[in-house]
Amino acid sequence: MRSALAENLLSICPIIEKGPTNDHILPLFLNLLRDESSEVRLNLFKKLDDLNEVIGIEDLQQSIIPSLMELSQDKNWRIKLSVVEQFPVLARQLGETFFNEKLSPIAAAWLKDSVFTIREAAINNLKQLSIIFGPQWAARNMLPKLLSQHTDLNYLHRLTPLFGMAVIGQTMPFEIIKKMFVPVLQTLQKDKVANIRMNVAKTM
Amino acid sequence: MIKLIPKVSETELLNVFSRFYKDEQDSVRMQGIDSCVCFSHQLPPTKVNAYLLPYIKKFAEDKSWRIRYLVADRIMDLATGIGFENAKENLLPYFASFLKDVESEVRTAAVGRLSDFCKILDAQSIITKIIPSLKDL
Repeated sequence: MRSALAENLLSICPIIEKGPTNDHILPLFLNLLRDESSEVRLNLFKKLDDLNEVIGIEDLQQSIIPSLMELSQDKNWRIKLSVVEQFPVLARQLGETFFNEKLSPIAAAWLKDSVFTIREAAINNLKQLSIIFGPQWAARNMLPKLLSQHTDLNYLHRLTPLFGMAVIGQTMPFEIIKKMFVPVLQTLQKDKVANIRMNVAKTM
Repeated sequence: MIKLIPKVSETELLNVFSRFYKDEQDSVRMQGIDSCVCFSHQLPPTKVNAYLLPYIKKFAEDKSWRIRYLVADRIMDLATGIGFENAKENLLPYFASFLKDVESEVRTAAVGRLSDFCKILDAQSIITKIIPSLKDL
């Protein structure tokens, strides 16, 4: 029931407008944000734009971040996956500055997650983010974190930048590919693990 | 049937309906909600008010939670059928009571329709009639 409430609650905000939202909905929202069930918190995030539209980003930030941090480290990887998938929406709503400060460390941590599906989703996430904030933003903020994994001791984590380059490369200009991607490919083509060398070939 | 055989008079159908809606088995009465939705889409507004609303109200107050659950679940179909203005006036008290129902299934069904139902209400009704019930959920 709380899950259904979380899904429906915020749709009321645009109808009753700012004052009553602050008085009546915000306390309920904050209460649901602290709910034990991650499904409840996730449903809240799905409708966040309704609340954002009414009370504005400033008031919203304080309450969201701790809950988001918690969800991003949830034990259930499917919950984590849903948060990853919500990130581009959040990024669009919260803006670049806020994202760089608070959310980009979370997005970077997912690139090293122990579950492959999360790493894969994090790469797709990065592609979406580079479309939203532009390739220069990605080159400055996220790509160094992705590409630095090519020296990781675990070969599975060395694969991530290769998969990432294949996906994100579609949205990147030539100069960035030449400057950032090619050196990594050159290093990894000499990797001792055959799977890495094969994926270098595939990425190219 | 009212959709398929328009020549059967409404009064006849309503007579049949008035007998089975009192059936002691709630599984029989449950079928009545669908009939109400169909009737509400077919009957003109005056007849909806005269014949149908009393039945909808009885279903909404039914002693079986399964019936109340169905009314809560189909509340938007009913609201569309009887008209939003009419629904605001007549269904709002029941919707608010579903949110406080003793049976959690009924409350859940009502909460599931919350955002759609609130769209047909004005801000004041939401604040005074709906939000207080949400605080107890």
